[in-house]
Amino acid sequence: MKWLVWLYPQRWRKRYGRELEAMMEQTSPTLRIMFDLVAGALDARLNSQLTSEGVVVHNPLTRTPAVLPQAIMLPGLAFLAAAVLKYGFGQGFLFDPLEGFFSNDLVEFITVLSPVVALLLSAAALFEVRLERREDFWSGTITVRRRYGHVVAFVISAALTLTFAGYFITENYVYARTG
Amino acid sequence: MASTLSQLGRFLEPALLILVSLAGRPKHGYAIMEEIEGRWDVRLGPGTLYAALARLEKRGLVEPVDTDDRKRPYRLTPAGSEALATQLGQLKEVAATGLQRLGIT
Repeated sequence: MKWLVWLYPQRWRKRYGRELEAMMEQTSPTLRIMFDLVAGALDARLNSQLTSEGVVVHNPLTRTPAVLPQAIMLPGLAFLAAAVLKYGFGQGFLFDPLEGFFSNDLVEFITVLSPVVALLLSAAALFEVRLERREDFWSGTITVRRRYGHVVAFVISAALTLTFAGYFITENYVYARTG
Repeated sequence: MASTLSQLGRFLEPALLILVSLAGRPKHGYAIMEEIEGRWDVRLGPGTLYAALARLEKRGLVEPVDTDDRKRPYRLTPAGSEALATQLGQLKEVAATGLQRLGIT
């Protein structure tokens, strides 16, 4: 039952962990005690001021390799590049062979959604949010990790997302109203 | 000082029992739990006990006794004794009023 101590935050374990383990060696394991320890661990995590440790909003995506958001945003990037070459410079060599492919609703949806997914993934890998509850208020910090591969994915996917959003708004609201 | 204990919310009752238990002499967690169960038939789980102890320590009402033993004893601080005396005084008044109205005294 000592494994339940690992549910407590690290700083809490550092301060009280050995005592709690020693106590549990003398205590018969029952469902009530297990539940009590789980509730205690939750309390320790929510009331971090007890051990001066913040509540870190962990996300499992922090270790995502940069190549994943970079790969995910490729359809959106390819579509934008092909469209710019075709309609901006009259070079349809990339767009024309793919036109039939892009006109498929599902492909269009995936293409437009890909930079949004890449943006969320890279943001999750770049930013760490730490919330700390004090006596009567919450304080928070946002840490930005120096991970250049994710920064590249974040900036490009953000630009793609804004471009697609701008295109969508222009097509559906500006032209629709003037037309 | 009563407000110090009142701030403990749902941990007020376990904290009060812990302070009374420590008023006799310093005790480690398991000894506190055993005394509370044996004397008042209240079963404090280890999670609740340490949640209350951490709050009491944070407010300077109890302090750990230096030891190398894994079972670290705790003792009341002067602030803890004062807070306990104030709280028990209030409870005594509540108990006296209740007993009087029930015609028991």
